Amino acid sequence: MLLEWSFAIFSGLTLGMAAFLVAAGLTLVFGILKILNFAHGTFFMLGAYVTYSILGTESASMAAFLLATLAAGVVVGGAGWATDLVIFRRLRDSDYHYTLIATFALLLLITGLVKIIWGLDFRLVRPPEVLETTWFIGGIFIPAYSVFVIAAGIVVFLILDFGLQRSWIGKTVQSVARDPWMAEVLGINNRVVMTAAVVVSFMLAGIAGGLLLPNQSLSPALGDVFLLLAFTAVIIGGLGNVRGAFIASILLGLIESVSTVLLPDLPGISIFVALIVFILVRPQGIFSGAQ
Amino acid sequence: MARLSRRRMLQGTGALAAASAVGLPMSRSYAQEQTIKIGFLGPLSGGMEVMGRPLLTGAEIAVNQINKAGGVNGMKLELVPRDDKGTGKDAVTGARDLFASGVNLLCGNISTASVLGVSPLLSEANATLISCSAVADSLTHEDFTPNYFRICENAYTKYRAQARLFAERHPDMTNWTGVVTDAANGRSIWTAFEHGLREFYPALANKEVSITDPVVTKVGASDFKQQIVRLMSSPAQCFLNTTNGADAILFFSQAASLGLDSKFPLVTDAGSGWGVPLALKDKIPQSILTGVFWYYEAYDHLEMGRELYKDYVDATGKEFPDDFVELSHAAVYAYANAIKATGNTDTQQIVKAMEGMKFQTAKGEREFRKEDHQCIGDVTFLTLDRADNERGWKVGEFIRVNGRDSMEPPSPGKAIDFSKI
Repeated sequence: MLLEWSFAIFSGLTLGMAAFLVAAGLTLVFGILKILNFAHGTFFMLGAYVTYSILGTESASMAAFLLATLAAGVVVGGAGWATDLVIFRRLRDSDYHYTLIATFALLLLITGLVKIIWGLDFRLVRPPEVLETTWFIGGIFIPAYSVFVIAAGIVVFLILDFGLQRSWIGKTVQSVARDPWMAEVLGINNRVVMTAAVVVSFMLAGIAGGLLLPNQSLSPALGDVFLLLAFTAVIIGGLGNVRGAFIASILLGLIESVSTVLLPDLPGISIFVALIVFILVRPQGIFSGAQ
Repeated sequence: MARLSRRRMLQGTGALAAASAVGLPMSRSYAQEQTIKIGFLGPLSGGMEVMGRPLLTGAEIAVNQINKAGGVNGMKLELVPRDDKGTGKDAVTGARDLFASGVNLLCGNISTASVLGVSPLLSEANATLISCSAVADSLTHEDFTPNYFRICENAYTKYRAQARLFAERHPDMTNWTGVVTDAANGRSIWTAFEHGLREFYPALANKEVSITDPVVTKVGASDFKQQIVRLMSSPAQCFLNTTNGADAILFFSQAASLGLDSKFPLVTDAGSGWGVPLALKDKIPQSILTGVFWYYEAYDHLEMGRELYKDYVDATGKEFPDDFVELSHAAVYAYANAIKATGNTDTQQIVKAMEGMKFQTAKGEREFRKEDHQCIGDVTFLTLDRADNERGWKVGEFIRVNGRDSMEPPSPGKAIDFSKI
């Protein structure tokens, strides 16, 4: 029983970090531009396809895998720049409903393009050989890839948190998010800051797609798998708050994982119960307000 | 709120139109002259599109073949596709759209949910439906409606036959469990399989079977490691997997990395087409016995089987036709036979003609059972074995079971009483 609980906690952390990798970009762009990007999961999926196109389905070296993931981030970041230029910038002064509709249209468009380019067939991409190992420690299975996902989630969180809280760039971004008028009066180029935020948000989606690719079956529906979890993490964490999303992702991962032990015949229901409870008890999220 | 200018409105409309053109299915018109319309309802977008597209291809091939041969009673067939996304809600929307367009002969439907949505509408709309791969027993039992027909075998027939195969071939494999999706079809498959094990092991192997509670998983999971670890700690010697598509790929690939193979050298699977083994390559289990609705090589002695395979390869350039292709192909031929017999497309006459009708398909002769409209035909299985080749596996054995021998007695309107089995 103890071993089952230990593995559940380990699996919960893995799932939580995977969710955070997807949620990070989503919450960042909401925090700064107040855009709820319906298409975020689609760009996560696009990042996975770009990584697959570079690596193929066989195991690559760790360096090649990380470079391909970075390349996916750059490609999807470029798509973010184009999206900002064509859609977000034009709708910046419009009611948020228009942005929601626009991102939904974008979701359909990108999904359609992915189907045209890569087709509907399922694909399975092997992780680098070093991550294919599974250790058996103290009676529980520790897949190297899970350790890698946990580490990647923590690294991305630390970079984002440090970048937003400690660096002058982060402080500039936060000032634009809180009071764009005052930021502009002080000589900050809001347009550049906002475009940079969108590009970084999309890059994070692309990088998440690359990092999580070897643990998923690749198809145009890939984005759906994590999007619900990521949206839930963003809502529970406090819309636009990176720290909130990080903690909420861990909580959700643990809730989902532990419920597999406690309620094995009701899989998947615990996330929805958690969401309802959080909305009733703390509708503003764990941390309220953008970070 | 910002003003919505005409320019902005036109831009938005243009973007949505472009999105629709790329990402959404559109209705097609196959002919301008007067035609017999057959509605197709299947998942043409979303997560189940990968199964819905082959289903549409099979129906298109059947329509083209029939039209090339002169049509039915001198009239051409026209396929009118609609997207049901594999959900009951969208199936209802698609069906209502077809009814409003004057289409009364429908086929398609992969998921039980979509059939459960449409089936109650059929009588009022004076329409019929032949579903293709929805296997839940209830559709021809407690949820039976008189205008509904099923072209594939139900869970009872297929998965009890699968359990029987194990009792006959592996009499020492008496400890079982399952990986069951938390959905109507997953539960239905497991119930039938479990009852099959409990019946056939004592009857054929003269041994009692021990069954551990199955591991239940959600559909569209992002991780199966906990479920795999539970399987590894169970006393079972073998398990039935009911996950399919992307879930099955993820499940088996994670199982391979956690070493599930060492515990289960042979597993069995409810089946989800060629997409799964083609993606898995050598991550496929050592040996897997899987259910298939149609295996083209096994039916290449039939002209219809050969023609279907040839037309599929010509249309798609793919070497492995998904087994759903044959189901929709057979459904269109069922309607063609019924229309030929009645001389018209009147719903009630078509229903009467199809009750008890025997007809030829790419999988041999099929028959719709008169009482509950359940199709009777071959029930088929394949073994796939891991191999040291480029694909990572090879087809081991094709197994054909006479569906008639494994069927339950008809009881439309009443659930199967497993306690009496």
